Amino acid sequence: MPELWELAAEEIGAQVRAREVSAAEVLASCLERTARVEPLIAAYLEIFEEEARVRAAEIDRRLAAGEDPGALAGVPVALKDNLNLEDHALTCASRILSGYVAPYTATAVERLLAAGAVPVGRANMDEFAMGSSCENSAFQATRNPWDLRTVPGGSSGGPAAAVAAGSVPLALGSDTGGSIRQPAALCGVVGVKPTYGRVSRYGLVAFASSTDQIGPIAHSVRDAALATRTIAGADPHDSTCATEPVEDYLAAIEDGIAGLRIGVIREIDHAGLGGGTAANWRASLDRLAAAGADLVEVSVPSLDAAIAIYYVIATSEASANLARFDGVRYGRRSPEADNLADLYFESRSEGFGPEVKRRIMLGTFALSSGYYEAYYGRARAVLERMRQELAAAFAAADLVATPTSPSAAFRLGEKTDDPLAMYLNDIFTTPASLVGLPAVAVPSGMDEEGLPLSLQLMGRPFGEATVFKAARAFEREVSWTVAPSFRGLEAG
Amino acid sequence: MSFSLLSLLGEEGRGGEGFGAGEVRRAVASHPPPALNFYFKAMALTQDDVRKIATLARLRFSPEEEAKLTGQLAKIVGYIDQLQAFGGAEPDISPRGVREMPDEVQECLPRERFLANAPESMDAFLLVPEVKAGGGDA
Repeated sequence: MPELWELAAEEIGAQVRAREVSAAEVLASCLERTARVEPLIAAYLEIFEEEARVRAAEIDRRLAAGEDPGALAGVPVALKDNLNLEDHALTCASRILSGYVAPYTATAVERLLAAGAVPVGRANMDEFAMGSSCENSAFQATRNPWDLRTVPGGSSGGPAAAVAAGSVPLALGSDTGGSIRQPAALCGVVGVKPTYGRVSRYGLVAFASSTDQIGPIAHSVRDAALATRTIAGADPHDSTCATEPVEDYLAAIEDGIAGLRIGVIREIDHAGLGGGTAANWRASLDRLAAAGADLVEVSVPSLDAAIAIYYVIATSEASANLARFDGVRYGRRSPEADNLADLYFESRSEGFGPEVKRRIMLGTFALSSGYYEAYYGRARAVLERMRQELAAAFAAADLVATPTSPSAAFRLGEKTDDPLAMYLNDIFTTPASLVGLPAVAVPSGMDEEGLPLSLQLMGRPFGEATVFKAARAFEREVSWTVAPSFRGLEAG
Repeated sequence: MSFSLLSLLGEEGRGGEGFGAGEVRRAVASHPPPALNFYFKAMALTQDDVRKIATLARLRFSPEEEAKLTGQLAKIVGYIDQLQAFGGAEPDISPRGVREMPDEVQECLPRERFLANAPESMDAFLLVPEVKAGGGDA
């Protein structure tokens, strides 16, 4: 019989609701597992152990009183540290937010709570969600449970590592250019970037407002679909949150993909996939075909420009969004300043880490007088081309497939001195972000070193149900089992 | 910004303009394509440029940091310059696609909740140092 921490979120919810197991027992199992793995992976910035126990006991009390706490009753969840949870610290893994206490709860988190989930902690991330390795956290580098010498990916590295290591069955992350999908890929779990506007951004600290989305990380496609269904839907607190009705993503998730047209982007050949990734990518296409999908070639020439477009648009928006961190209203205030201008300069320069500063600088440059047309204007125009190319692709295909990441997990420190090399990880994840499409990263096997690889499936806007159905069919073909081995323990 | 979704959606009923959509249209439509001098000027991003951008961004760097950042930004900007080789397109801002939530004035959280996070405050106000005191360079 599996340990409780090994159960899927869906099973935990069902068993807790049926009172076959208590929320307190599930939580105790997950906390015990966390105590064992956390010293190895450093996925959390804070664990709310006592509070989680109180909340789990409350779920059990409500069940005993005949109430139904919801589909995620007693499911322990980790929250990326850029999601507000009222009366809890929130840092975005940045020193500039030291001392900040969330004055309210993010809508997506509120919906998890309303479904009976039990938050267990704030998970580590790249500072302000800027990074692809979790090494840009101001506080700690999270390690990949598959090999402790490698990164978990980023920016939602903490949530992905926590799920992969069995600390929690479910976590919430945020994805601006791949920050859920890439760490999910590197940690061998499932990650979802919903359609832009599918999930409210209220209570998510803004990085690039035109692409930021909250989404789940889980062991299975079913759990990811369940969590997405739970957090999706209109919210009066976010005017960009769409009013499209939320489908039951689990209703037809087992229906298979016979006859579904899956687009394969011709230009992926340019992306320089490593040997193991290339072989796995071809095997993934064979698996999709074996599951009954019709593979059709589509062309998205602007794929080659995706990273350039993204790093102009996202940094431009970030330079504006992060202007609010100035030591005046919240967070860290420099003790050095004796006039207002110095207060801005000193608080920001002391509070932000190197990558955040680099991106603010890049965005400020791209928006500055004399360069705006050449950079921001140009990026928007090429993005429009990309949007049209993807629209054409989705006329020929129901979904579009790519690898999630061009390589498996890389070594800690390997890319920290070369920001551009780090950015190149985002080649396949940025298009769905820029164009606002839903996308799921699903484990596709391993490379020659035993590190997880991943397939990305992108859908039409609000086409989550189809994406989940295909991801589930693919998951069945791969028969992925979750068993990270914590290799490299002796070295690390 | 939802305009990036528009032509993938066939639905009616999107209320009003997405913020920024009109802005982008102006930006793209009313100016000629970027002149080559922008391109080459950017390639030669200097430490002086970096100092000016830092001032705009309200950031300060030591000379060592500035030198390192100049090299890194020049490399990144050099990569981004490949955008000049890609054909662009006019944004489609026709009013269809995502139905967004109406942007209505609603009750806000109480002021005290927000002031609780302020480094310094007095009554209902945020406190900051004097604007002109000291020897600051701004």
